[in-house]
Amino acid sequence: MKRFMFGIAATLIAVSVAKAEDTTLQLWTWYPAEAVLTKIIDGFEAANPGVQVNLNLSDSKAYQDRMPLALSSGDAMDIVAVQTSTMVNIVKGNLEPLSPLFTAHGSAKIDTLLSASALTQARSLASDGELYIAPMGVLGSVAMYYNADLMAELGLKIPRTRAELAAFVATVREKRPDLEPISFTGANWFLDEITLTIAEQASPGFFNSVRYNKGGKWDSPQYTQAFDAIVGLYKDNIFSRQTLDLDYGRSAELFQQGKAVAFIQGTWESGHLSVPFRTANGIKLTNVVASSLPVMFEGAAPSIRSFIEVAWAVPKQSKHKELATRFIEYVTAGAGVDAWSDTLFVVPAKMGATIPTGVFNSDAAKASYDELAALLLAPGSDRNNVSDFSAAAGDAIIASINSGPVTAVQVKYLQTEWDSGRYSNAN
Amino acid sequence: MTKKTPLITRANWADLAFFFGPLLAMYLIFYVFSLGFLMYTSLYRVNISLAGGRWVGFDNFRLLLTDGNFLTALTNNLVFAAVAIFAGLTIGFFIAVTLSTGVRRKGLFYAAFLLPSLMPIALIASVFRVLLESRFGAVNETLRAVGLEALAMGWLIEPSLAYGVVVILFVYLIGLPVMYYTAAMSTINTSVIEAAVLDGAGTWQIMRQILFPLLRATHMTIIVSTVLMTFRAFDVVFFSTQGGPSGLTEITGTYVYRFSTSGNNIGYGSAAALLVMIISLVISIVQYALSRSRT
Repeated sequence: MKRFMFGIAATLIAVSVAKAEDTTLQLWTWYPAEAVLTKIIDGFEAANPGVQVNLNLSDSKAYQDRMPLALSSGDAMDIVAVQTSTMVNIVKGNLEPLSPLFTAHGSAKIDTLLSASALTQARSLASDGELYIAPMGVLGSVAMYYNADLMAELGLKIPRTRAELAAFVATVREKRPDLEPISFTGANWFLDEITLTIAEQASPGFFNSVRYNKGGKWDSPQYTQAFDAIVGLYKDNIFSRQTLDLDYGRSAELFQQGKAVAFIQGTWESGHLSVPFRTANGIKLTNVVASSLPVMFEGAAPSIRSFIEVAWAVPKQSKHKELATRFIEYVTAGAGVDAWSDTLFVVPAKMGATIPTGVFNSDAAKASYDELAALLLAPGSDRNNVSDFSAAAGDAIIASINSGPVTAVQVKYLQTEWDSGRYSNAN
Repeated sequence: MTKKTPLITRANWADLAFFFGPLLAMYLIFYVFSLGFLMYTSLYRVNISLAGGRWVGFDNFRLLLTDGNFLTALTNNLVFAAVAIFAGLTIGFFIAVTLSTGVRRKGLFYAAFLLPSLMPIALIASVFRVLLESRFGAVNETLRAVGLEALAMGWLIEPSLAYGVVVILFVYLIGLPVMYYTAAMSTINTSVIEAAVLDGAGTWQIMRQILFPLLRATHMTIIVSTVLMTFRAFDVVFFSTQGGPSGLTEITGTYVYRFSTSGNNIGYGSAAALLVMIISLVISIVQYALSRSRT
């Protein structure tokens, strides 16, 4: 009898061990890059024996389409990445509130693990004010990146004002006409990003006042001034019209190939400052520094609109909510942060996070990252874009650059469009 | 006397289901379901999760018809269609006739004209975009290298030039009309042409007064297929100008794409897609009716 009981016990143990080993978490995301995700997953699996994570990785656009449909169709999903500004209200009905999950299964309450500002933004995204997502960190736009070696060769310093920017461009054109002084995509959405950055320099909080219906208007003097400023940058040939047909990839490529002295993009391109990131991505640049966009008006201050990005959530249909919660804690506030923080994609939301040593190869690079991080953590407005309207705003800017309608007409048109109900800002 | 069994017997339901079932299933899934989906969502304000949609009736259509950008896109469709038809009926016809006269290295010419139509349009449009980039594009770099810097222009930046680039892309895809005409000409009775030659008709007269009228049915095929092609020419515009500058080269395909993928209201994109489908259907019916009345 004893033998029989022992046999049953052994069988039960074996079955339970086999069951634990069989636990596979289904992870859906579009970011970070596969190599980084593999590093994160390997670390989590090593820390949680018997658990495997199956990665479903798509590109950003495909993910926007596929993930919400898969979620609402009840597909097997345990952990999903959420594109913060576009997805939360679309998918929140299929997500578990995170605070109770962290209280039950995490090492601590989520409010003690992630920064208060990041969690406030995360809660503000959901129409019911509930916390459904745990963000990896904060990113924003726009920032300028510089090839420090070319700058040294040309005797240039980081421009801080419009006049300095004009002088910077003139020097490059005079001394090295084979180079592009500043490379960036002139795509409609990005011109909108630059314009809003300029608006925030003079009027911090302008975008929030429009975005969250707090009295802001597109045809207000604040936005009109910013609209005029960006058109003026083109009319005065500080920004080359040749940027207007550069797409994102090409503009980055020109900078990475040393054909452009500076590069304007969001802070998600801060990886250019990181030695490990440059090595991993085959970027040949050896010295890169960064700054905020030079201020365009007297009395204005540098500004970056920022927002939480790449957030993680637990779908309601998950059969492994405890493990899913542990994974989310690992990647946003645990040891997993070290696996991705050297990409500098976001400033981590983890309380007291530090950038690993060896990321920067100069004090100037470190100082410029700190400058961007400080602006990201104290933004004038959220970078909570309305992407379909951004395209319309950018098109209006391009039309004016191409000697189309004057600013006053364009900003009135944009206000009419904003109120039309055609875009995502309407409910 | 034994009753003969006809070679073609009346098919029973099992045979019909076997042969037509898969096709019918595909049709139901990809056409009927899609159409129903578009009709349903076009009446809602709903996001991609398709959950929690709000009934808005015909409001999406009202917004659509009051959007100047949509009307521009629609106009562009018709303009690009007109250009492509004109090019097909003139250049395409001329090329097909010339190649059918037995010129040397005919295969090479056919390859040159047909290849663009056989290659992925997205690839061709992307190559055009890279070649025409104003700063480092091959076209402008070449012009600068040979001292013609004044001719190096913002091909995709200047509104009129960008429009011209898209027009050229549509003309470049002339292979299909050439193919249609080549196939149709092989069916023409050569004695008609021989008679014309004996009567002293010149090349131009043969082309204009004999061949062109004889190929009337082919013209109609080309017109209908070209119009429908321009309504589906999303890749031509998206991969070359992306509808820019400032929406000037936008067509209905890129417009629908923009609102279906970047916003939270796919109902608006569905309304646009549905309207475009109805318009192209009406055009096809009108053209079909016209062709029937002339034959």
